[in-house]
Formats: sequence, C-alpha cells, structure tokens
Amino acid sequence: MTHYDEDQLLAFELGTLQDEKTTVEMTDHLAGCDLCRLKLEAIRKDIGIIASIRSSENRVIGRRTGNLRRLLISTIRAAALLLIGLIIGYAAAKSIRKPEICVSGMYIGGQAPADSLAGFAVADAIAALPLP
Amino acid sequence: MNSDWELLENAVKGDRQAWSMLVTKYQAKLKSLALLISGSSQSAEDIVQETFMAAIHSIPKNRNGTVKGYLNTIAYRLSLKELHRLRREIDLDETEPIVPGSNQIEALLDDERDKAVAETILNLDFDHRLILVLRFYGEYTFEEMADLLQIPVGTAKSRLFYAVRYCRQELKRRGIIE
Repeated sequence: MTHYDEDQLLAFELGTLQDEKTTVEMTDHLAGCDLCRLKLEAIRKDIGIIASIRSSENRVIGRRTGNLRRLLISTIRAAALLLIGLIIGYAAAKSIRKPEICVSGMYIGGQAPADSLAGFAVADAIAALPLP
Repeated sequence: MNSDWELLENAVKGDRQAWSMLVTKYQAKLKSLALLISGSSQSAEDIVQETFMAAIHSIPKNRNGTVKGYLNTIAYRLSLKELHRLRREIDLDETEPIVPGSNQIEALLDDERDKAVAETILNLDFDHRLILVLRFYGEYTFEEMADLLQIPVGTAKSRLFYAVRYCRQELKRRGIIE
C-alpha cells in the first residue's frame, strides 16, 4: 500500500487539495490506514497550535488610551517641528548680512545736496561727447 | 434574528451587560487577528477597542452575515490601516525578521508557546501571513478571502498551504512542536 506524504496530508487537512478526486481517494485510504491517520493526527495537532494563540486578559472595556497616545505623539511632533522651524529661522536671520549704508558727507551736515543736473544744458553734454 | 445581532443592538442602546458579553466573546480572537496583522501588541489593543466602537456606531442594515464576520472585517481593515501607519511612522522594513522574545508581542501574550507561534507567523511574508490569519483567526472561507483580497481561490489555498508548512517547519526547528 502506498502511503501519503506529509505535504499531501497537510493539503488534505487544510482543504487545499485542488481536485475533488484526490480528496475522495485520500478519504478512502485514511479509513483503512493507521499510519497515515497517525500522521494526519499529528498535523491536526500542529495546526491547532498555529491557529489558537490566545491574547492575555481583557483590558479593552473602558480604555481609550489609543487615541490619547496618538494625540500626545502628534502634539509632541508638532511642537518639535515648530521648535526646529524657529531655530532654522533664527539661524537664517542671523546669517543674512545687512547691506552697508553709505552716507554722503553732504548729508552729515543736515543739508540736502543741490540738484547737480539743474541748469545743465543738453547741448553742452552732447558737445562734450568724444568723436568716433 | 441572530442572538449576537440582538446583543449588539442592545449594546448600542446602552445595555452594559450585552456590551460585556460581546466583548468577552470576541475580543481574544480579534486581538490575535489584530496582533498578527499589525505586528504590534499596543496597536492590537487599540484596534480591538476601535473595532467594538465602530461596530456599535454603524450597525449594518443587512444582517445576512454574522456578528463575528462583521467584527472580523472591521478589525481586519483597522489592522491594515494601522500597519500602514506604523510602516510610515517607524519605517519598518517588511522583511526584517521578528527577533524571538521581541517586545512587539511580549506584552500581549503570556504563554511562551504562543509567543513562539506569533513570532513565526509574523515572520511570514505579508501575503501568506494575511491568508493564514484570516483563515485561522478570522475564520474566513477560501471564497471570502479570495473575494476580499481579489485573488483566485486557488491562490488563497496555495498561500495557506505554504504558510502552514513554513510555520510547522520553523516551529519544529525551534522545538516548539514535535
């Protein structure tokens, strides 16, 4: 008698055999084969272990820590971003060089300069141009 | 009407006993499902809580399914959402193995064998893990999983087979099963 291997028995137990004919043949074989039945029992036991992990005791009712935790994380993150932004802004402001202001000596006395173009004849200016 | 639907309706109306009965009946499996999809024990607790909250805030008019299926579907979707959030937040490497004794599952599981099993399941690649968890912890049929994940039934069967085979081999190697 040919026995089934572990993979075939696992597929049988999981219901993952692709055709009905094989399922029927295996069912018939298992009815009369102690060895394959024993192997199948061991597989069932293993599947039972894989499929039945149990979480620890009830801590669900009345607790709403999840949203609070997320709110706290979001607040801390926003505060950190704000702080980083402030630091970068401050550093950038410090690093920008202010343009130097040159003040004409004429202003120092508190008088505005006279308009130097006033009375400047256009014809004189043209005459002063160098010839090509 | 299914008595679980009645329990849920009564819970919505403020019946604390109905609420407690529902939670007691379903929370352990939901927590396992949430843990094994999200990979985080802290998140699993929150997901179960949010699952019950979502369930009583929007009871479906169509009662053809079961309360268990309804809760499982909510928990599954919330777990996926949480998994994506965690990946964005912590930049989790999907292929990074769970180290035995990892605190990701330490907090939620008391039994050493359960911890080893959870670690092994969490080390499956995501597609295989999802099928195993939906089948064993959500009790979905192959047809339901295929519909949910938009894959052929044959693919769902094949993934479950390889997922369980890997888990058995790994747990044997670690001496957890004979």
